[in-house]
Amino acid sequence: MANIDTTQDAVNEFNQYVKPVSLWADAWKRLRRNKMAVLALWVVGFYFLLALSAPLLQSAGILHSYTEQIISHQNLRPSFRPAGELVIESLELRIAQLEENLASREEDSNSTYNMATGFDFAPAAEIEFDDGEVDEGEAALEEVTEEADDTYYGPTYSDSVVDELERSKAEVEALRGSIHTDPQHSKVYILGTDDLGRDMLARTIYGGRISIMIGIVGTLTAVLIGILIGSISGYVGGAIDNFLMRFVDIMYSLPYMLVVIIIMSMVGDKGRGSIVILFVAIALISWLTISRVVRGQIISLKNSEFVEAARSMGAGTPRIIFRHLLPNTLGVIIVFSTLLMPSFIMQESFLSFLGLGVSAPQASWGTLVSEGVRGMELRAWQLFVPAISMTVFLFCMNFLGDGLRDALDPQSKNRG
Amino acid sequence: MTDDVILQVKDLKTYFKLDEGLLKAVDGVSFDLRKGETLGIVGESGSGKSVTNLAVMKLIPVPPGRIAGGEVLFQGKDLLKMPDDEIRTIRGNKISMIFQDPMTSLNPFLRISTQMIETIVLHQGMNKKDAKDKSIEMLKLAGIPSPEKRIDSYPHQFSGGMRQRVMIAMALSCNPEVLIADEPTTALDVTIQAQILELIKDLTARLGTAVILITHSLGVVAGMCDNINVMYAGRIVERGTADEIFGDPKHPYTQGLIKSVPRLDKATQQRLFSIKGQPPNVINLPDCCPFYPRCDRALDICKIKYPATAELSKGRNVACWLYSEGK
Repeated sequence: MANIDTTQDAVNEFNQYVKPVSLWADAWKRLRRNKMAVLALWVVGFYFLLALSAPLLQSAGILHSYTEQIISHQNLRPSFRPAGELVIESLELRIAQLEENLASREEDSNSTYNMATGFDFAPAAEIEFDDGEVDEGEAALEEVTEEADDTYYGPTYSDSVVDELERSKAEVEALRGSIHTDPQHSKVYILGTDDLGRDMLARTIYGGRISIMIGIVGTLTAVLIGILIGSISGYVGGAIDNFLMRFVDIMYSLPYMLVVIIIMSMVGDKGRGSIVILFVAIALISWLTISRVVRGQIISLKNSEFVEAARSMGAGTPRIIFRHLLPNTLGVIIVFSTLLMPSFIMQESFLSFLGLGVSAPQASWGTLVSEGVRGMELRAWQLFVPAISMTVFLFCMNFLGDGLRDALDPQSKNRG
Repeated sequence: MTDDVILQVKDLKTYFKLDEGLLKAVDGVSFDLRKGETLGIVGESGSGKSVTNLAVMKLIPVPPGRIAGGEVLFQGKDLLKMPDDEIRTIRGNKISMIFQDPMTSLNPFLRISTQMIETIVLHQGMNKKDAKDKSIEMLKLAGIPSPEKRIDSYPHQFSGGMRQRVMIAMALSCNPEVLIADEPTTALDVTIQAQILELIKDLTARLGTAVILITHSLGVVAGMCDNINVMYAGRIVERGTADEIFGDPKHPYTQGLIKSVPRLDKATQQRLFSIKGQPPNVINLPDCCPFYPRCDRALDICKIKYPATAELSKGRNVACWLYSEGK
């Protein structure tokens, strides 16, 4: 226990200089000893930095636009190679497939088991379910059913395949020609693109911006309202306390998600998808718990002697609440806020997932995940990129909150 | 009464309304405090010493407490009738307090400087820099070594004795007329107690501050006080100068208290005297002398009626049937 603490030195009556160590400095020292919390702090800091600097990165050309849709770049998989090459690669794969298809069809024209060939998907290749594809499948079915009539060859089948083959070949040629001249095709999508050809990295970062912003704003409003209501209720007590706390009880008894959904649908199409409404809806109910927490803290502190001493020194009620009582509850409030923030992000994601959150072209982690779920089997990265980003962030926030709770808890002072 | 009376408490009554009934914590207390005087209030725990002084400052928590009657005249004005804003300009400025436990009387989250400067700026209208200089000066007077370095420390960096010195410095920083010291040495160890008492005595004498010293230690009042009030069950049962109280105690309770102090100068093999029984529960107390069940010299009338206060000589009163007329 040699390296603890400067407070020991403070207790001396000699004329020695003692460096003032505030509770915050002390807490910081303890937080730094907690490796997971420090790691979480770094990660959270990185997220914040990225979210803050996203517009800068975009204007500097490092990050692609999150709204720009390039139809030919649909559903590209994550890669460090330029988009043009990837498009050509997938088209060539498609061409090879079609050619093989065609060849095998001619070869086994009399075979009974020729149905499956048209559905042979290469795992990494991009296959679009456009009209040609459907025709092809139908044609195959048609062919099997009409096998008895050995002489009939469906003209639709070969026509559509040949058509697509021609189109793809022409596209590849065009791309080959423009790949070095068109700057669009030299774009690199590290985390792939979504089904409208938008950069997943940019969308995830911008989605994070909105999600984190909702987390911060929601927490701030919750904390501000909660502190105000809680401290007044706790300090004044009596009828006001009763009134405020019964109001909180009533709010508590309303099913939260239902209320938010009702609010979101009540504002109608005009307000739908606006972030402000989302903020209001979330903040409206989120302060309940924190006001209870603050109230409890204030009640336990208001009879302490330093409050009596402050009153005997002539301090008024607002001064006592804001100067003497609230700083003492700040530790609890900070810990609670760090744990509150992930819950807001979760709630926002949930609402967005239900289609009640932010709307396109804006994105949040919630909307990105819900979009990603749609093509989950084929384009897993569209789900995993936002989902993992969000999970890592929430994980780190929880770790940070845990670390702060240990650091700010005076009981844990001599532990570890 | 002479003009130099600065604080006059007249028939002060403070009741607490509890589920069990009405608790008469202070029931008709009167005393005068003169300029520069040190007045001791002595009594067992629960006798109403602290509540009296909280009531003087109008610091009783209003429900459940209630100031049921009486006047507290400070410089001719009744503090109990003052609106809150006005009394706040008196608290900490004209009348200030030192509390029992210095470990909990300072806000653990604020620097000493912040807490001291706040009070001075609030009452004296000084700017922060002057207020800080004043604080440093007060800390120096209170015997804190190198106060200019220690002033930015937090309370937890001080020992108990140092904190009580800080409290004293803070309480005296606005040159109050009256200092109420509510058991200022109870939470300190014996060597520090003497230092703190000496400090209070010395500083208040220098600044001309009148002191109300609340304590249950007879040794402390004997050394410090000019006049002494002995309280029992919410009333003052005996008052007089320190010499009178210690030299010639009249009330059986005071006699019992003094007998139960261990003495070094009389080597006896006897057990230390103690007043038998417990102090009464003051809830719903009948109108009798509250001390009679413990009193060796109780009369029949003690069970029926509370005695009127008998004035033996000027400033020397006893509330006991033994001294009242018409017993």
